[in-house]
Amino acid sequence: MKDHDIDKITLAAYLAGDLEAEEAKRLKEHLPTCTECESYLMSLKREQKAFLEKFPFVSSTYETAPKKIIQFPVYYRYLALAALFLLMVTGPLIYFNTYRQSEYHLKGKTGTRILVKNLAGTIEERDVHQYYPQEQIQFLYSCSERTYFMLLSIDEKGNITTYFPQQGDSSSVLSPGVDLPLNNSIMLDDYIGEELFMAFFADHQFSAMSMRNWMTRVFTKSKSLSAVQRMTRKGVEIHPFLITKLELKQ
Amino acid sequence: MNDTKINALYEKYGYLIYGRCIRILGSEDDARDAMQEVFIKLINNMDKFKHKERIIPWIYTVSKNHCFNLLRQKKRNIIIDSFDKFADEENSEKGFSNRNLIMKILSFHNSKVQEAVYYTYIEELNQEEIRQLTGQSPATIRRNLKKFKQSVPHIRKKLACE
Repeated sequence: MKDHDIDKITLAAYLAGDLEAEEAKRLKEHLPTCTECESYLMSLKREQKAFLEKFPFVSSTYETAPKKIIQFPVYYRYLALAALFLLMVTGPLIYFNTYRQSEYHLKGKTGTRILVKNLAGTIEERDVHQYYPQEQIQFLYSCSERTYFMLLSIDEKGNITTYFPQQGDSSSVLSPGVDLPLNNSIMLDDYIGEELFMAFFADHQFSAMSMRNWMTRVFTKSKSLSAVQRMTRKGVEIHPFLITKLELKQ
Repeated sequence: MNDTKINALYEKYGYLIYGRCIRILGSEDDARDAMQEVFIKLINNMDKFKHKERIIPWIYTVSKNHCFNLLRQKKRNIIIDSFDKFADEENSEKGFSNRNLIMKILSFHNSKVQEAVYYTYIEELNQEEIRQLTGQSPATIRRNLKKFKQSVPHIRKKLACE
């Protein structure tokens, strides 16, 4: 903007209704006298309209409504007795189910492992998730039934990468099996530091964008990967892997 | 914050965030993803704005920083076919357009140089507008523009080798 003190950001703020009353009035009086400002304001309005037509607001993408806290009546003695009774009945069932799952190294209904191809070309599984740049990691998954899946990562700066699905927003579908490799392995880049990989399993379709937004919210509030690592969500099994990439010493 | 308020914010500011992101990232899909992430940050920070006039400058700054960070890490952790065969490790972006190359080169610079170049050439703001947004004086802006231009051959060569 030339020859006057009204700039593009002020015009955008005017359109948003963010200016103080006096400044908004001044600008409103200025507009009929300035084709440059008028033209820019019209272009902003067109841009806004085109954007909202192309990307209409979807409320489910931004789940910020607080969860309702349900207060239970204080019949704790009866509740405790009922819980004990249920445990006695279902305990053996849970034990046998867990035993069966442990045959397949499964925690819950699903499992995940990481193999790495080191720089010498040997494939190994490490107890401690420390890796070096240019090493390739391969995720193996196990699930007892057809499941929807996603693999995302977040680094120390809050940057999120979506590995699976590789295209689109919907979760990938995995067939049941034990220690099956994901379609692609991942070559680690030169970034030194921590990166948290999160494998999500669910029995229903879910959105990569909603998972990304959820991780961003948690990280933005806490500024820590460990907070993201502790995330839980009803209906979704989450397997976090906090990996550290170390500098290769020459 | 309820859906009605979020919707109102989205209508007011969504296009501004998206506009900054598409200018830097070039791809609609990438810009839409980045827009979502910056918008979430905006929602989480709304109660920290003492004056509404600060919101749009915040959007410019945070969108710019977020997108340059994405550019910087865009080639990170390359997905390759399998353990059994190596993907072609030559730079798959050899066909950089000039604009993409400029943005990629810019992502290697500090935020002050990014601000000077991005606001001058992409947003086409004048020096006074840039000063209000970033605090950089006209002399500093000119110096950072020069620094960027001088760096282009060197970084371009570095990218070609990776």
